[in-house]
Amino acid sequence: MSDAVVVNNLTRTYGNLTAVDSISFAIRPGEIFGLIGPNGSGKTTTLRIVATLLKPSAGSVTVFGMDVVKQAGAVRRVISYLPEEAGAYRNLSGIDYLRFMATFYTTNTVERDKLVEIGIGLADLGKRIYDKVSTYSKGMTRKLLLARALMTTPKLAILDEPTSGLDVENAHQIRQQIRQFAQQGTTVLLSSHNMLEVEFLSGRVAIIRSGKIIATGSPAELKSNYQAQNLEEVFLKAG
Amino acid sequence: MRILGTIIFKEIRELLTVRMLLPFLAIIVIFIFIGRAIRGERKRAAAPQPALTVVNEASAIVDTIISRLEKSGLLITRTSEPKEQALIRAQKQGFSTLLVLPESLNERLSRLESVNIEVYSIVRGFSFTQSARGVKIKSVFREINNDFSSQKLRELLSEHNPENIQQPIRTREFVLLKGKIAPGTPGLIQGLVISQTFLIPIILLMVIIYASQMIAASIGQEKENKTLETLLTAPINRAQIVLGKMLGAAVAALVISAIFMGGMAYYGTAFSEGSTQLTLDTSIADQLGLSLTPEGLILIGITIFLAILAALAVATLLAVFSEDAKSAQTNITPLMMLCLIPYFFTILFDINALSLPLKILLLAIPFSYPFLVPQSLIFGNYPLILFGLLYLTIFALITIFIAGKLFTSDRLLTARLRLRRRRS
Repeated sequence: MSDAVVVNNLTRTYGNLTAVDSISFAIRPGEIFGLIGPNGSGKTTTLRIVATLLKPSAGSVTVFGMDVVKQAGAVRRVISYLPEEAGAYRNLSGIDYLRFMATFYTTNTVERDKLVEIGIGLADLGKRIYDKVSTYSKGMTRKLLLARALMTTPKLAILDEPTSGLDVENAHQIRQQIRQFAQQGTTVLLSSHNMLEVEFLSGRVAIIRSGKIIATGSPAELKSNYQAQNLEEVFLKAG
Repeated sequence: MRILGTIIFKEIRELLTVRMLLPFLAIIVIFIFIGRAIRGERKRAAAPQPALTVVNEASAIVDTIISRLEKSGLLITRTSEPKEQALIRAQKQGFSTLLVLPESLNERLSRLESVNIEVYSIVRGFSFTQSARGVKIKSVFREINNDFSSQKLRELLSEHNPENIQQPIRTREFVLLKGKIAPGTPGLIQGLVISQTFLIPIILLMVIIYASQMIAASIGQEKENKTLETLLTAPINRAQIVLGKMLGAAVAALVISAIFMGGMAYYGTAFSEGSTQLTLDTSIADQLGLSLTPEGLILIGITIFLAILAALAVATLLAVFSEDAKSAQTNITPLMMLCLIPYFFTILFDINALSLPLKILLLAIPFSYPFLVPQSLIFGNYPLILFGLLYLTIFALITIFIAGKLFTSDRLLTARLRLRRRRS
């Protein structure tokens, strides 16, 4: 089976700054692939390029065989991107936000309503789904946004720091949802600086530092290679 | 089409919030309140005003004066008490005016001596009622003087027309415009042109400013609330996002402008209600061909439409460089200046009287044409209108194209970053 995502010698520069420096990795279909590294290491830039938001300065990225630059429109139909610290439209209610986003994925009203129903279930906000987003807590907004990202059952979910700033309970619930979707066939590319979270979720991991990938493999392989107790130690030893 | 409609609807809901509309509604309430107050004041000014009149004789001329004053809207109370006492009474008993007719009025007028009638206006505040009353009394005495002198002239020089003696030289003023002649003065014609075209620049200025602010706020909010990235990765054409934002902003701006203009119109009619001058002016405008034709109105409409489109595209371009809603508003300041400069120039100066550099500057600003076209239509300056339409069309197309390109590139997310680096 061909890879879901292929990143080949990807480089991205902003003026004189090289944010991503000739990185390569591949993600298998249905796999949860974690990109870990400190802030400013190039994780978000990589995710944004895979999500068709930024263009590579050099190298290439394909998603299910489609080039993210040349076939950006087609790629957007199979992906779903959850940016770090993303927000929702504050003057819409949670359900209206889900309905608004669902409109872009189907022209059929019945199908759209089905997507919204899935979204409501995933968000798990009860009656608060009818309230304005501006009244939501950070955790509620994040749950709504993850529900938005997953309700369309994307072939590839790109999740940037999915549990960032959440309490233990909300973070746990979101991790469970990500695992469930991966089991149902959704490929997941996630980034986090929470190494324990990535170790818990990911089948394979790439450690990125200063725009370069310094190690790739399953958490078990990496721990064995670096004789470490956990990914945190791997990261410190690999650096 | 459905996606576009969804985006437009979302934009309107995000932009036209209660918090956003509240200041506008407050202004409208103030306008309506002032309008009502002015109407009430005008009504009071038209109502009969009590006037105390010191009269020391009974004669036909005194009766005529009293009767004329009563017809002008004064409720006359006659008294023969001394002036000083009458002054105290007038103040105490709420009279608005005290008139003191001199003794031997009839006799002195019969001898063709001039007399002084003292008019005391009791000032209890400054209002329309107060000033209107003074004007009324003056006009009554002008009429009485006129009639009295005509009568005397007829008695003394029965073979002559009194008017020929009173006004031996008269002037009749005409204006010649575009080969057509009509009675009037340049001031009157200017007033006519302004009355037909003054609303257009105000509405336009409001719509352009609000629409630009709306789209800047929309893009700024998307960046501030971090919703832009999600929207840009959705499977929709980026052109639809730009178009949806532009149309949403335009609709929101139109709603606000309509609310504002409604309030202003109510306020404005408080001043012009019942004016007969308006009908007279309209007939002169027709004689001179100064009225705007339906074709002219269509041309103005096209110019305004193009200007709004261009303004929205420029605002989009400027807002792309913003970090949040606040900086987006700041970024569109140059656009506001480009709208305000032609607005004030066209109000204060005649474009033909401007120096060449100023004229070039004014014609180079695309937003000048909506202000220039209405006047150009009236004076038949068609080359300027055609040039303006062509220039605005090209400018609008180029700016929309650039705005569209910017939305399809990753500069939408990186423009600020690059700009900041360059500065440093």
